[in-house]
Amino acid sequence: MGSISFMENEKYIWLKDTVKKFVEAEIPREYARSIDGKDQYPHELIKKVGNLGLLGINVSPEYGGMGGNVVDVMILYEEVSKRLPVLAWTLGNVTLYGNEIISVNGSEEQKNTYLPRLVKGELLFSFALTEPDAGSDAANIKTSAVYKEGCYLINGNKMFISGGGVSDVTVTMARTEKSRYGGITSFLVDCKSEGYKATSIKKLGYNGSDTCEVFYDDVPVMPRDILGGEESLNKGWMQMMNTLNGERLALSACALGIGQAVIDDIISFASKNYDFNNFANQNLQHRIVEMATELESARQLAYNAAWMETNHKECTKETSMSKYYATETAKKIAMGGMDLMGEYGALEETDMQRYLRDVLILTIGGGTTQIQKNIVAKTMGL
Amino acid sequence: MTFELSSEQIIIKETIRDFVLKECPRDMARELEEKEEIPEKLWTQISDLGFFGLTIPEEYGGEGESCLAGLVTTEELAVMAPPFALAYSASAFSGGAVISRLGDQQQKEAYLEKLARGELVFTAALNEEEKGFNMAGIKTTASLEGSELVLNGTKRLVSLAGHADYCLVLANSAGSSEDEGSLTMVIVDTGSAGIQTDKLSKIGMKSLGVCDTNFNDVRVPVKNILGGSEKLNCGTGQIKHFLDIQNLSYAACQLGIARGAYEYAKSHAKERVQFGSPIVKFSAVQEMLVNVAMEIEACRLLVYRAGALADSGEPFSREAGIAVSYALRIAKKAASQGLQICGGYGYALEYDAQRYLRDAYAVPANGQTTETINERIAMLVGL
Repeated sequence: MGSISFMENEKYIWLKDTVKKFVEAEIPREYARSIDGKDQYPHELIKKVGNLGLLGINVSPEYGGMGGNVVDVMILYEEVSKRLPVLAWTLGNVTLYGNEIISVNGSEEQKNTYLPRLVKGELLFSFALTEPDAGSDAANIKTSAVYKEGCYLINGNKMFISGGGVSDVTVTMARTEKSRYGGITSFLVDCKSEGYKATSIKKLGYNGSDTCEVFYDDVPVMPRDILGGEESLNKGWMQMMNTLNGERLALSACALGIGQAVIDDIISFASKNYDFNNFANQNLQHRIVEMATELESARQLAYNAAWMETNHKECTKETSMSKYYATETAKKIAMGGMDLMGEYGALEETDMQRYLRDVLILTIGGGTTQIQKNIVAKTMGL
Repeated sequence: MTFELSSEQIIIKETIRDFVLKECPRDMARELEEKEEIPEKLWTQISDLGFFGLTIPEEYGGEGESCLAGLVTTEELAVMAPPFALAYSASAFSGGAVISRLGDQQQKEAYLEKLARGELVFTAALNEEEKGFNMAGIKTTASLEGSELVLNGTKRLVSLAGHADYCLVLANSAGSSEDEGSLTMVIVDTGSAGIQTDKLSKIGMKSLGVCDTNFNDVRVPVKNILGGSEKLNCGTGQIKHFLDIQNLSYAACQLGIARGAYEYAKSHAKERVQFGSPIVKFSAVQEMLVNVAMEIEACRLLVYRAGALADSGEPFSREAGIAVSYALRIAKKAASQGLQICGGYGYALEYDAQRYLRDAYAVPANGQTTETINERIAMLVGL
């Protein structure tokens, strides 16, 4: 078993500090609120993250990246989520759906084509699996890719695709055979292709994520644009499995950041309004202590799972536990923060209500809490 | 234990339920939220049906002064349109029930008949502090000048901004803010000179409207002191009774929100097919829904019992406090679980699961938090 004392490492400390300073300098609270209010994709901020070299955080140096691993990604996401959760989410359009998918599953040619440009902030990727009738039951996708005269034609529609409108490439999971898991292929779809259309979906939180419904009407894709190259036909499901641990951990980090933001804001609200030398406010103290304790245990769970992942140990169970526990804990903390602030927390001018609105997708997206529990149950022989 | 609904109250419940289904389905509730308005047509319709008179005695044009009937109505309205339920309950409870119980003869004559006809909108301005309502911290002053009270101060988060005709204001009438015993409740015409409002925005209950209200030398005749001019400095007892009544109505509203969220999630779970089965057949989903159903049932008993006690003339502070504390908690839980069950669709603004959640978090509760309500319950249960 690892211990998260591995975090006491110069590289991680430097990274945390760098991101923290970046957030303080570049994302004042007012600015964060305006991105939420305008539902505006944070292109500018992503560019600025790129200026720090951090878009290549998890890309090998041979393609111009920093050569970091999932722990680095988590540190970046956690720190950014403390101020502007949707920035972490949209960084996923580079680091997860671009860097990670291509690094893990891409062909050599695809790595050379995409990774250097992703690192430079020249490309955005999105990932299209979910469909209107295939959510938790993801293998039930109906979007089809049919080979015809030298290329595949994709037809169907995808739901809740983050960055579906702003992306250059949408990694699209489509059915190429009937076989439930063995008939799915992952295609690198150029979003400028004819027949590709994305319409944005208004939602409760994570405003600015450009979450879309995406429609494919005879969208042509060349065989060489199958993720991993032509020989990866029908291997889409397996490829996806290879990136799930990383995704669960990244989402855990988003939850940790939001949970911490709630606690920090509640501490300043409570210190301003209550006298803690008075036993009358003991209950309030204890409520906040419970939040902090539960978040700390979620953090230990998450970074321990990350240590296992970076040390190439089997950790499907641990990353699934982490995704379930960190996101549910952050949700509970945000709901508790709202309770403690009463009606004031519901004012749009406070950040508390935004934390709540944002956190609520984390127990749904990237595999719901219920799905994570199903996965953990299997690993336990249940 | 006398909290069974009477046959008359059952008819009221069925009438309002049918009315809501027909006149205010979810589509319309969504539309009302977008327009941020209280629909005049609905207001008129429920006035014509006599619902505003439920909490008012017959001699003033009401239906017989039943809090329980008003709570049943609030609950049913909140199942589909929570802000409309709160607007209704502000008039039925902060207006009708409060004036019936605490008003003097002249005030009853002046307001109750109009309230019973739905012609007046009442609200209350109590809260001043960021941390929530605190009776000991009332800084808005009311100074006696001849036959007038002069109000100065700022009240925060006043609901029904732009709609209310009258506002019940809690003010410190001691002449110095150190004397906490000297509070006065006064009925203020919202059109009075010196009132300035600053509109705010909450994540939910959008059609209700909320603002901070500044009183700058607002002159009110002493006859507008709740209960008449001799009730100057009698606000401490009145405000407790007032909060008890409001707690009833907030509890009923949260009960309705919990039901609305639950019913919405239940119907989604029946329709949504994953892994070849409606998700309602998955036992983990059932467990979530069953827990919420149990809590709704328990909450309804608490709310109705508190209402029945209020109607019987017994003390009901403790029961109203417990009902509202429980209702605040379960509505938020029902709404967040409903959202989880609806998944991505729960998170999309096009659908209703998230609206119940936003509304549940925006119920004003007079600036009380579950913590402050529980502190009061602690006192009432002898801690």
